[in-house]
Amino acid sequence: MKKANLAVGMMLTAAASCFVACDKENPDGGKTTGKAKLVLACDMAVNGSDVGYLIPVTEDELKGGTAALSRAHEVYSNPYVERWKNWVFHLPTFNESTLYRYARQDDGTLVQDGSALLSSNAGAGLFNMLILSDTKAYVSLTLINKIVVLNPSTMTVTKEIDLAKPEFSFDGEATPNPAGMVYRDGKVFVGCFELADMPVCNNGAYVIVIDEATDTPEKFISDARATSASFFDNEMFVDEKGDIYITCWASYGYVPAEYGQKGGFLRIKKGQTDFDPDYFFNITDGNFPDIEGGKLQYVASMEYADNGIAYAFGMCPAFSTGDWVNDKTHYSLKIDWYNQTITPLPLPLTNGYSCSISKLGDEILFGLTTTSNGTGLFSYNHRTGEASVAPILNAPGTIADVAVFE
Amino acid sequence: MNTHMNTQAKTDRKVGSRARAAQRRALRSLAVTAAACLPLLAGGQGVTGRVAGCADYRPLAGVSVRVDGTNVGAVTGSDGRYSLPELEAGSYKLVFSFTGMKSEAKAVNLTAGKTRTVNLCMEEDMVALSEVTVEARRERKELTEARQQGVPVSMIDGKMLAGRGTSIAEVINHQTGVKLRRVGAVGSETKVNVRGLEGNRVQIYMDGKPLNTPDGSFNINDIPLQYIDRIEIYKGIVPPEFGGDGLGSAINVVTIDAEEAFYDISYSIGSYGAHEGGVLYKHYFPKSKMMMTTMYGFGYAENDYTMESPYVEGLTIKRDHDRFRKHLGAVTFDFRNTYFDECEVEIPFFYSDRQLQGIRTDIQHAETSGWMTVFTPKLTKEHFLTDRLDMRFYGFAGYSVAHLNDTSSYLYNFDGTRLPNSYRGELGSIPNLSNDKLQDYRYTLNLKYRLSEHTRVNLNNDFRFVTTEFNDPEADRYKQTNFSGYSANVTGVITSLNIEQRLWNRLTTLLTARNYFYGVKGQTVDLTYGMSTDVIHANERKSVWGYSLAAKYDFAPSWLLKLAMEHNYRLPRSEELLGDRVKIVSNTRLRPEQADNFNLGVMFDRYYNNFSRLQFESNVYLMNVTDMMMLRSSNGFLSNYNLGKAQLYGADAELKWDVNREWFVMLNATYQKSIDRMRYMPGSNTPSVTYGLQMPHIPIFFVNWSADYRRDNLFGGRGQYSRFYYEGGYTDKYYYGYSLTPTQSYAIPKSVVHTVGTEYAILNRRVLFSLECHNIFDTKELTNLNYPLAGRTVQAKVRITTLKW
Repeated sequence: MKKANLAVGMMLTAAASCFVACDKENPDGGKTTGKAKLVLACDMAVNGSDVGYLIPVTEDELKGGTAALSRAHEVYSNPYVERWKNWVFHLPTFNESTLYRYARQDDGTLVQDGSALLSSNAGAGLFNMLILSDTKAYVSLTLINKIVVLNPSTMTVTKEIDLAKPEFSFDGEATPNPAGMVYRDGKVFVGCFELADMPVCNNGAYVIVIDEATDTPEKFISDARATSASFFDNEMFVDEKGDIYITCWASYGYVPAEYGQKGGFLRIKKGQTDFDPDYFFNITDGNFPDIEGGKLQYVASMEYADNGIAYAFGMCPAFSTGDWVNDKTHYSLKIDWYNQTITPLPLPLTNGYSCSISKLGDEILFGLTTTSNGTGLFSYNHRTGEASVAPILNAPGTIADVAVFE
Repeated sequence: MNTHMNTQAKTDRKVGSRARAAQRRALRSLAVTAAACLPLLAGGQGVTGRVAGCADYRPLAGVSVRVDGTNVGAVTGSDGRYSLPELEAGSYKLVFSFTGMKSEAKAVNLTAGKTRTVNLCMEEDMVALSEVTVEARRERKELTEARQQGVPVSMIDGKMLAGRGTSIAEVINHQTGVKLRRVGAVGSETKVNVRGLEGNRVQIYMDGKPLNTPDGSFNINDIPLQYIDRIEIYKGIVPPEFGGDGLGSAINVVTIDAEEAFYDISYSIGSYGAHEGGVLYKHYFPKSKMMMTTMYGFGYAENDYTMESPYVEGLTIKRDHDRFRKHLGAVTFDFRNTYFDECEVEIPFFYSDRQLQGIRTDIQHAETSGWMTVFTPKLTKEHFLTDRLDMRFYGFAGYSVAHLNDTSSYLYNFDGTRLPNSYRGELGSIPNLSNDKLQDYRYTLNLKYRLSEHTRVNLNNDFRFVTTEFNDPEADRYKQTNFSGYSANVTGVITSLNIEQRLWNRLTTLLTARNYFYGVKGQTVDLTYGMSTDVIHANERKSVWGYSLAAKYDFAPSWLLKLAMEHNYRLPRSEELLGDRVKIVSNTRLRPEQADNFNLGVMFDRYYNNFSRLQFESNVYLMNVTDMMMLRSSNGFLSNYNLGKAQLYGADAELKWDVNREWFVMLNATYQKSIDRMRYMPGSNTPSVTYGLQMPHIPIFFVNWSADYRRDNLFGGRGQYSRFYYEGGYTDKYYYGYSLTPTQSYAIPKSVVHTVGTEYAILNRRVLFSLECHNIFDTKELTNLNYPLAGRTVQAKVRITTLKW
């Protein structure tokens, strides 16, 4: 009996020891190979985690390699990034109101070298940053209706532009919800959500025009033909002619067209500070023969190439069963603003979580989560039309955003 | 009672030398146990035997076996066995006594050189049960039986909570395998984590009836401590008589069901404006042979402690919108002169309202409130219809209403300034003035049939029907929708059949087959396309099968081996299937979560005399969980999906030692791992980098310890009782995310928290005073990332009661 009891004790001890050692630890020991070429802002929500990662990626790794989590910085879920020279700025959306700055290092790593608290309201909403120079940048705080002007070199706030005024709001409620920003000819054009119920916006597209020299808002313009003027910075672009094209995502198409919300592209012509009444590329009412079912629910995320050609994602309702995780509903699209055409690219479909676009030279980089082609960055060459069939960079989670070093 | 206590004290002194010898043996046992789980051997000539309950022939641990007229005696172990070695030849009378059982005496003649065997069964003594006294540290039969099941279970005796002013959460937080995760102070959301599972995956029962309310308006902390008889914490496997679904972890709070009339008044006051009080009166009406109990309690807390903002460096926040109020009451009618052994109807009522404290933003107006009332009949009958059949029936008809009031047109900053609100409300993006109604009808029927002395068959049928109606005209008005008033029904039926067998007097097995059926029928709204008024007519039905095997083996005196395995399911809750018509989209295709659980445990339990007892229990477990329901968001909406796959494993051990009549010490440790087993990223063929890693935000290693000193008449006089206790807990650091980078930013830091308290009672414990200080060193305490807790708190309590202990 003594032996039996001893055996039980040893069995329990052995089992416990095994348990201590049975799980694997950090699986990734990524080597460094020179300065980072881009930074991946990766979200892990689909894996059941509320953190995300900023992962520096070297040029070598962009040949089918894997983003090295061993060099990553842990951040809150849903991270967004903006690049300026050797810096990457991390925008923590609704998680915090602190802007973080990272500097890329020769060994392929990133080092956090600055931060700035932009509001004591941690839910202010830091999505968008427009950097004009080493000494001047704008960050829009969406939910508290402010734009903070700061010096990105010293990370000091130099001015706050208060947009919580009735004159900057369509209904007088002083809540324009500043979002994407673009600079042209001394003016900063700020797209506004005009939120009714996130992600549902009030009908209409709204832009505030700010004089850059004085940082004074001077004009509030609207256009009833479309809704939701920009989400992120890369949804407002200036083309070679000096015209601004604005992506309107129409509350992601949640509001049926009969309620008056339409998505598409609006334009502000060079020298003007009003919407061009002669231009509206209507996506909601459009019929696109190369798209399954011919219809797109909305178009969002944008990267401008040249000569009126931009790349974006389009959500196709014909693929939707209501399962956001498993449904692959989003096309990678080539959009011709001038001729108002849309062409799906020969890239696999992705889901609504994974929709980032960036540009590296002539390569347009799409962050995709695909059913059978992997997850990561896929490329499409703007000049040759050549598309990758597998990720040029494998990602550990959903790619929320990418910052490319030029 | 006092005379009894004094007599017992004298007897204790008489047996002092023998007790000290027993303690020395206990010390030796402790060392041996800790080293290698070696057995303790009993032997010698004289009398040996086994004591069991007459009702079920289960062994009775802790029975005092005394040679009449002498101070020679022994106490039965967990297997019911005792041994009286080295008696001289002659005639003796052995007296068997046990709290709550009728004492028995047996004559025995001993011949030189021979050992006699005297086995005995003991009958329950209902009179004695109502006269339980504190003098003996022997465990009550209910606790012993529950502890000796084949399933892993931790027991907390309600007597040890009688005077404390703290909450249930604080008490169960010191058990093996259990961690409480809170976001604030009194009344705040509390998640009970058992072996790595929490939320709806841990079933909470009160007297065997499910407590989980859909809106969380009533939670485990709302049960007043002084009315608790015991708390049973089942880890990994839940006994089939509970009937419900679940992944294998459950907490059952059993309230006091005294046989005699009594009254009880209590009031406690604590830090940060916390007040709690209660009155209970139990009266017997002899003419109608009915016992009626009425109870009323209230709670109030300002929770206005100061905390450092986790989001803004240097910002100190004084919590100013965290008030909690509750009122609860119950009327119970216990009819004593019926065909049934128990015929009882209980009608409880509960109301609460709470403000919601902001941390990221300064919430100033949002609050919730709700009320519920329940009608619960209970019938039990041994020898129902035939001599071999026992019957138990619990009914439950509940109605609850929940309100969320969140319509603010402004947002607030912690500096006191306010901003225009882009939406309405401070919590989400739409205003809410909800009036959600829920009707919940359930019953549990348990039929137990004795096929033979050692074999029983148990049929359990658990039925539930929940109908929900969501009403929020303010949200509808804002969204220009008309989603209020739709209702949908969720039905669940769980039927189990099990066979319990006792073989060779050492092995008990419990084999269970269980069918889970559920259906959802009714109308809900498809929010996928926002303002669409399309109504979904849900009509889904599913049926799945589960099974379990639990066995215990008395492999040596005082030793017990437990083995349990189970394949079980947790059915989707109505709110998971139907959403909330506001932000959570319905998913009527949700499948039940399922788990395969294995547990192997060993238990040592030995009495050395009436006051000295050593207990040791250790378990190892493995759980494979699939189809875990997880909430995922997309474009501002949320929905539940069957995504997760996890493997949970670990080991825990606990040592409890009643050193003597005054001292009790305890030490336990838990090591648990919760490993992600999703091979691929959901919706993709991409291998998941988190496969094989510890899942986030789940404690891994924790240790608890305590020392307790109790003494009657410590300061002289009569009828007094004093207690001093100390509890400590260490929780190792765990992470908010997966361990994927060398520099992880977000972690719940390791913490060591010390609690001290004292109780002092007079008039034979009719009047109790207590004082407790939690976290005496004011250590920074965090159980959820970015939710700082209150730190050091003090509670004082006074209780006047005629309850017999």
